[in-house]
Amino acid sequence: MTAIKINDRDYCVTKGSTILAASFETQKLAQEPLQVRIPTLYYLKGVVDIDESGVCVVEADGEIVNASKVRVKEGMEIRTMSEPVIAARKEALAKILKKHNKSCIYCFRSSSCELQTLLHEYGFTNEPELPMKDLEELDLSSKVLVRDNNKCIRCKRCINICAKMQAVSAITCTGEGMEAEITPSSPKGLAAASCVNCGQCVAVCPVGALTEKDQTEEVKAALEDPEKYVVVQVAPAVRAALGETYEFPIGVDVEGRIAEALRDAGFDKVFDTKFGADLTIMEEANELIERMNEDGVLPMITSCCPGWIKYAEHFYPDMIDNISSCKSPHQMQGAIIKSYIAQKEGVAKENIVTVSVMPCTAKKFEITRDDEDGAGVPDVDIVITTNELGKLLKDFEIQLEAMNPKTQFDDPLGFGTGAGVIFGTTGGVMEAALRTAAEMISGKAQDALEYKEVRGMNGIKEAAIDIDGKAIKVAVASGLANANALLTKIKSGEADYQFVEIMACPGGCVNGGGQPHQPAAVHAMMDVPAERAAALYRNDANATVRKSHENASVKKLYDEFLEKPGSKKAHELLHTTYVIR
Amino acid sequence: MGEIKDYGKLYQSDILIVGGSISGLTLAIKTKEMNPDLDVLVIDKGVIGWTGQATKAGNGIRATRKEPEAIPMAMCYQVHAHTEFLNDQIFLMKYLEVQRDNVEYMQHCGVKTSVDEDGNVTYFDMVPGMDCAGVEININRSLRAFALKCGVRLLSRVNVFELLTGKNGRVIGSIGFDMDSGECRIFQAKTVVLATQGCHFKKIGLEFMGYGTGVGAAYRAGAVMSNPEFSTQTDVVFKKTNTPIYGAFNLVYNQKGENVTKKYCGDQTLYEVSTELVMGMLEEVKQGNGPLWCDLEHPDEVRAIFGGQGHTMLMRMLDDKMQWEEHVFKKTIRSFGDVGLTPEMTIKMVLQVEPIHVDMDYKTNVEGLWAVGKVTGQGACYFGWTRGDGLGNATTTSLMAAPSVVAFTETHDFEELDLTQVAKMKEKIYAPLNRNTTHKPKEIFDRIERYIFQTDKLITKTDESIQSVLDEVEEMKKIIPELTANDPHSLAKCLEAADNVLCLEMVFRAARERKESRGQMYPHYRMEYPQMDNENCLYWIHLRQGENGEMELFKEDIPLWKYPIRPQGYKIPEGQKEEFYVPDNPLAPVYLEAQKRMAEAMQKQEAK
Repeated sequence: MTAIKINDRDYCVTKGSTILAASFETQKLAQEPLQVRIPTLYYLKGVVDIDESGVCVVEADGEIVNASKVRVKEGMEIRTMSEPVIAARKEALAKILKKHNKSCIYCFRSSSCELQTLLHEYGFTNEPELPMKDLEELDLSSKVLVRDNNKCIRCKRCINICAKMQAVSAITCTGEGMEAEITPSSPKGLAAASCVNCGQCVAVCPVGALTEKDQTEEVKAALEDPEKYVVVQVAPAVRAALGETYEFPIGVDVEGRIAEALRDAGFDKVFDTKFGADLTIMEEANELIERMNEDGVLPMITSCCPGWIKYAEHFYPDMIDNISSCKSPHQMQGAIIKSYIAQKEGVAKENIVTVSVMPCTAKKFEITRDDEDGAGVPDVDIVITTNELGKLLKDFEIQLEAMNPKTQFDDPLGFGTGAGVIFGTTGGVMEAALRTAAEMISGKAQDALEYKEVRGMNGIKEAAIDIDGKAIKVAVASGLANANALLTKIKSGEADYQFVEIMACPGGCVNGGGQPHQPAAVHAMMDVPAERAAALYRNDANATVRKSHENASVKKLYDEFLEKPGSKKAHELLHTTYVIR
Repeated sequence: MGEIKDYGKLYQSDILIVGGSISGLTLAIKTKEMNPDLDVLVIDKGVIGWTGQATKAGNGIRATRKEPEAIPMAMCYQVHAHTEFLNDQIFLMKYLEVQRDNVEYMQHCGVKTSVDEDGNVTYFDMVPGMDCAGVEININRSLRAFALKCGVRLLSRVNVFELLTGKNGRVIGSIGFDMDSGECRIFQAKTVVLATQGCHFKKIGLEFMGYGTGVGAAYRAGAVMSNPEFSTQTDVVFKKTNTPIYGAFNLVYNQKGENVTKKYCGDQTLYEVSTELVMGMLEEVKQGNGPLWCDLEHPDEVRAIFGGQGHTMLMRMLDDKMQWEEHVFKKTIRSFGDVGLTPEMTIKMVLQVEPIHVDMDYKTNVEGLWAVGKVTGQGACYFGWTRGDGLGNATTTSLMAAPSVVAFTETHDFEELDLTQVAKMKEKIYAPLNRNTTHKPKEIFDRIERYIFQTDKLITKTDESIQSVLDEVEEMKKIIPELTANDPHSLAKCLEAADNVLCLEMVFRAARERKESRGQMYPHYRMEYPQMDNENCLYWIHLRQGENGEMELFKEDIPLWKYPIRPQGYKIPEGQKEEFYVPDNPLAPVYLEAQKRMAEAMQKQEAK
């Protein structure tokens, strides 16, 4: 430990840590007056270590230094709020503002913008907007993401996460400091840059330079159209994070509250994608067993994640046959809505608008893929992210806080099991599949329910699961760089699995690109995806039914409509194909 | 007649809590923790988490000390401290018992309190038997977060004005409107709890505001009100800025340069403005020694004792709270510049009418209706609340109420709303929007300020001054049916004005009845009867709406024969017998001992 003084108070901090890291250590102290906060703008745990924004400065032994760079020394005297420090921070902010378009009132990120927060804190009240002639055109090439270079503050979080965590490198950079040019790796824009639409760049962007394409107006138009029968479904991970847009504590499950809010918003049917997840498990477990019994291509890799699918199509075309042909849960559910539900409710499928609320930006791309129209019309018409749902509900002046947490989704596609809900976190699809596959393989009820080996936030997890004396080797990867490492091992023959789960976003859907933004200070103090995942595991633990094949609504769907998993009709509606890009 | 939804949007919940500040949120959390299956809805006219008195109040939160002798000690102090001998002492004992867990419960709910390096609550000695812990300024935001985590429902920006009742008078809901859209909102519940705050008339800067709508609604639903005569709080303020500095009342001087405080109140430092000081100040002005002024040559002396930086060490306040205090203090300091170092001082008053009568479970006399927090300040008959512990009062009352609220909710079902009643209430609430008269609610507030906020009416009361207020009340009651509004905000103001006048009437009806002088901090003073009268006035005054709609008063003798602490020479009335100091009561010797020690301590202090 190293003894230092911060603002005239004595502290003992981990030897060799940066001043910034030391300040995070102090923030874990019980006594509030002892806690020290240093502002950041570029720094983000695990993504950008050194904060060159100029705001992350302190006075150390009389000198202004970068707190994310300089390490503590025995006896160091640090001041975090002295006049020179404040002046330096203000100067840095002023410099950034010269290149930042302050159109806050239209900005999708307003109020969850890390720059805006600092501007309020440091007394910037009347900054002129950038002149129109200086504004660059927005990059609207992507179906999913919008890049506004006029707001970019050159933190390079997007570049780092895209290259290091996702192994995609769709965004690159030339030059230094505020003069740096941040550009897509293709001059034709993001869409041409082998971007997989995972949205991790959106999730980490401190400002509104990268956002999802806002489609809330399309949803409102559909709701206003008396001809349309508007059906909504909500992905598992959304319930673990939507609360954050209403300043709920992180990791509070708002499942029931969402159902009531959507009903208030005027949707004709309010469904839960947990159902689609259970359906996916039925099809996927069946496919796995078929492949295992009939010498099919193994390992079978999950197909729920459209970010991963596009990544595979770009970078692993030779492994496309390994990917399960199952559609992702919301596409399956969309296909069922446009066929089974259309029939049941007596509505023409052409008049149904399916809206999916997803933690994911890549789902916006997924609905535009070929072979995602099981009933002859698109399975899903509009995808909005968790962020967009927050905005939509606020536009409708709906108070999520006032909604009843015990509200139920509509039957029959509103009921899902505990297995369905854990789809929202890394390892969840695997665990859900094992719960069902184990019983399908052995033909009898199994005691095993919680497969803790595949839980947790590690990027790669491996396990050998014993089912009736037969070991099934499985692996789980989240984050495409981790997936890359795992697939390299598989291709080289170093590893041999029967079943692999891959999710593009580190931590799985709970950390999806469309999930609410939390500032760097929050990420430094807690593992946000892990908190959200814990909410899903609690939801599962409290569920009355925890195995997909025990979902009565799913069983009924097969009895009445699909016959059995893997049937011809199931294939028509619930399975898809992939392309080589 | 149609359906409920033709009248307004219906919200249904097992428990409806009106008021989303510290008390309402604490009760919501506690009931939800006791039975997670209950559907608990909290409503507030502001934005829950960011509004309510707790967002501004108090330096800390008090708790009864852990040691067993703390309760008798606190009892001895509190029975004498405010409205001497008028407490319900059995109530107060239970209150002090529950108050032990106050601070720990707040910590459990995620509220930051003053702690040591290991996270244990740090207390400081406040008054006999009581500890105090510093709390964060954002107490309501933390409670909001915890409530949401527990699954409590919070509905903001809804203002309700009437309670809905069932067949046997049971309260089964409430009705009001959305403060933004003005749309009607109807609430149906098995149990209704008012955590609404009382009615505050303020003439002092930095004081809080309550509108008495909870009091009015409960009164019209049949709830009994108690002891409103003890509602006046007095402060000495700078005439120009209307702001007090706590403690500045020790530095009041007349034009001869005499310290008025010392002249009338003796050499001891005052901790509150006393009636003696008020009368002394009046006397000085009458003698031509005015205007009175404050000696700000020594403001640091005041700060060191009562405010500003001295508090950090003394109160162990949290940083954010400290910053707020500094901000407020600076604002006052800035006023010094305007007023100079010898600013003119005057007396200003605050009326806090908090009279909803409750039993030891904080249940009102109306089936299905509870009231918690400060709205029961005088109505609880315990008078244990001391200035500086509004927060502790809010949490303790809620913790006391929770078990009975849960039990009642679990054993009762929804009762059908009476559409005729809903229609009638709605019409009444919206009436000011449909009038063609010109009276505005501000007229009422102005009249209250001008004619009632005078020292002879609020502090040194006489038969005559009380009558003049009641006459004024009658005049105002004639205007109320003619008040007009044109938006949700002014509509709320019209309805608040009506309940303001109702609360004023309660205060002065009760004051007329109490023919003695008693109490400090919230004293009741009658010029004709300047002494405390323990022979004839050991009673509580209750009010309720009579059958004919008129306010009716009735008295209840205080059963001091059941209580440990009694006035000197107290004689048990005929027909009653000693019930506390009986051989098999283990508490009897404890309280004898405690009172002996208290008397000794007092003697010592006086000797000093």
